Amino acid sequence: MLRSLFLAWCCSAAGLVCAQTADLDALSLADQTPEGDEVSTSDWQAYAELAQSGVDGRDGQVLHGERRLSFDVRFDRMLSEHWRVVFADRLDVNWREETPLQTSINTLKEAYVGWKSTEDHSIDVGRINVNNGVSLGYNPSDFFKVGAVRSVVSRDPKQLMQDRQGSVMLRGQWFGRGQSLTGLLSPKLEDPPAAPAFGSSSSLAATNHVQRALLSYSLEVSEGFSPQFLLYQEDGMPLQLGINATALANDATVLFAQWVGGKSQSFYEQALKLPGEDRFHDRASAGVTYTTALKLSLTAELDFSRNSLSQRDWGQLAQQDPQKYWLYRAWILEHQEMPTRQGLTLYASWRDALIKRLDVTGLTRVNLTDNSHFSWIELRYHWDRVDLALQYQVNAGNPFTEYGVLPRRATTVSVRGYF
Amino acid sequence: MMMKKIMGALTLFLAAQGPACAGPDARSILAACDQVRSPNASFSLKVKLVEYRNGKQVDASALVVYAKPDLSSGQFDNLVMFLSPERDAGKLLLKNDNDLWLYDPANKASIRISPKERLLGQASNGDVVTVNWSKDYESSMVGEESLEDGDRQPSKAHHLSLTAKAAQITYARIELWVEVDSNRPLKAQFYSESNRLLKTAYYRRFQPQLGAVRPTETVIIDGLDPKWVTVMRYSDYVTRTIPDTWLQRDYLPRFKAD
Repeated sequence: MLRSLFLAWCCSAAGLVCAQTADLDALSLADQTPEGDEVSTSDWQAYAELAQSGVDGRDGQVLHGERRLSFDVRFDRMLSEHWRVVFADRLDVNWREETPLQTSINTLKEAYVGWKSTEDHSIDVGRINVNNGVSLGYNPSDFFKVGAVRSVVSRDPKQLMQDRQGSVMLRGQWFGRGQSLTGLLSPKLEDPPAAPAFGSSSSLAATNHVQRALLSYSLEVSEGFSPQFLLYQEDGMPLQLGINATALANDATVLFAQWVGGKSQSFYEQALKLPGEDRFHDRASAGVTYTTALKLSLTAELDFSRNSLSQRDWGQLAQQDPQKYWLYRAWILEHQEMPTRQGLTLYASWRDALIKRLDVTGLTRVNLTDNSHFSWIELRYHWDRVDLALQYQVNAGNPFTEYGVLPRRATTVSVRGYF
Repeated sequence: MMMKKIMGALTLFLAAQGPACAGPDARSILAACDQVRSPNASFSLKVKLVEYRNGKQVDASALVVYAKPDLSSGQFDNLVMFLSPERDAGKLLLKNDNDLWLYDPANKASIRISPKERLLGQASNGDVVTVNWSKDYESSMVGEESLEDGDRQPSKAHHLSLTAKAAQITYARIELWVEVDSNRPLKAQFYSESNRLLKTAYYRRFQPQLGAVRPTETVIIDGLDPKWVTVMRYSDYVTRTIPDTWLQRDYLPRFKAD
């Protein structure tokens, strides 16, 4: 017993010496950290990205190759104590390898002027990107997502949120102790396109083809719990009510949920411009994000939309009337909604995955109504000012299901340089 | 039998030492040490972080911390703005106790994150400067010890052992060495609930800042991999008014640094 204690003491003493040596080495290293190299805030942010994609069809044949060059710029400056100007724009230039055809899509993300009298009040006018919703895969309370995505360069929901254009609006905000109120009015400035035209309609027709108003109020009900309440009014549609809430379950787990409800037509009736009575419909999503000690964050989210088609109606639509099927799909794409009633989103984000500076992100969306799914994975290695990314996505499912109808596989390699 | 007697005597001895060493002394030293680490008014400072692995620099970043004392919790509420690297510039982290939000100006979205998720990023190091230990930890005196400080100079220090008052506090236990004459923090070891050493920190480069002599550099050594070293340098200390609105989730898209 004494021998064991002595051995334990010896090991402990040796460990202490090792630790002290390691500490001295670390302090010597810290001494070499250079002085200066001051970094300050900048009003500008910009990057350029070059991407090469290959897309395979359902039969495994190569459908096409595509190249893309993108420029993204953001400018945000206080002109004085009260005035602020914000501008953000993205240009995507695409080339198909088989044809000389070149397409350019410009996304004017934001261009507005803001004024504030104090820190508690502000008014903004111009093109503003408004994001509501606490979920990753499906955000029914994100009312201003309609027509906002003009060019899909990644299936990452965070990137999709980033690359969308704002709506022209007047916005006022008030902040009180533990509460805030935002009101905004977005007028109709152009007639809507005759049919859903993803990315090809004019920028005003895409986001400002109907008059809309939104009132949102956040209140700190208790410490760490501040739900957000929304009232949304769109011309030709009854008032919609929305709620967003998040909570901390423990030091590694965040819960989130949102719900939107009100009288409206079904998505199918809206997409095909059918006469129909407004009936109560609601949409919701709820999920959980758990973070492990290995820098891995996992999110599981359930999505639900009563406005969408039931399993029977969705199954019959493609067989009975393909034209209506494609019109419905185009409308769903433009509105970033769910074609059917139930979905599941799984998202994983792993920073410094196995090696430093390598981030791995994965997403799977499952249509629980038709059992089709798509998966997307990205490996992104970053240097100080350059990112190298490899994305791979696969769609699976029976013909005419949500994901089964899409190209089987796509691979993209991209290089991004920050200025 | 003999061994049992020795162990019994040792247990009695340690039990007898416990109450005599605990008490207000340790608490007042810890409170004074907190005062050295951060002012008790609203302020901002810049933090430069340089990360080394196996002796080579592998990462660097910079951020600004806006800190405001929260009278109800006794802690600081923090708004952290990232300055570099370029891909993270302008991102914000709002921290009101365990209520944490990450805002990205590129997508205008505020995402709630858990305290554990915060630990994944550099912000976990960035905002430790404002943590008020005496509010979150019970302290007891281990004894007076001699040690080499961060500048490799021999120093006399109080050795305090801090135990977290609540389960959700980031570190379950901290072993802290505080210089006897000045109450300056010299060294700290941070432990997990399972008693694993997570990191060791050395406080150094003491300089007059906002009315007191404070450490302007912390060297953090990873508990598992001692070749993983992070150097944090603090500069541009400024006392400032921080409106309550800055510390609200809905204000994050409006925040613009002056």
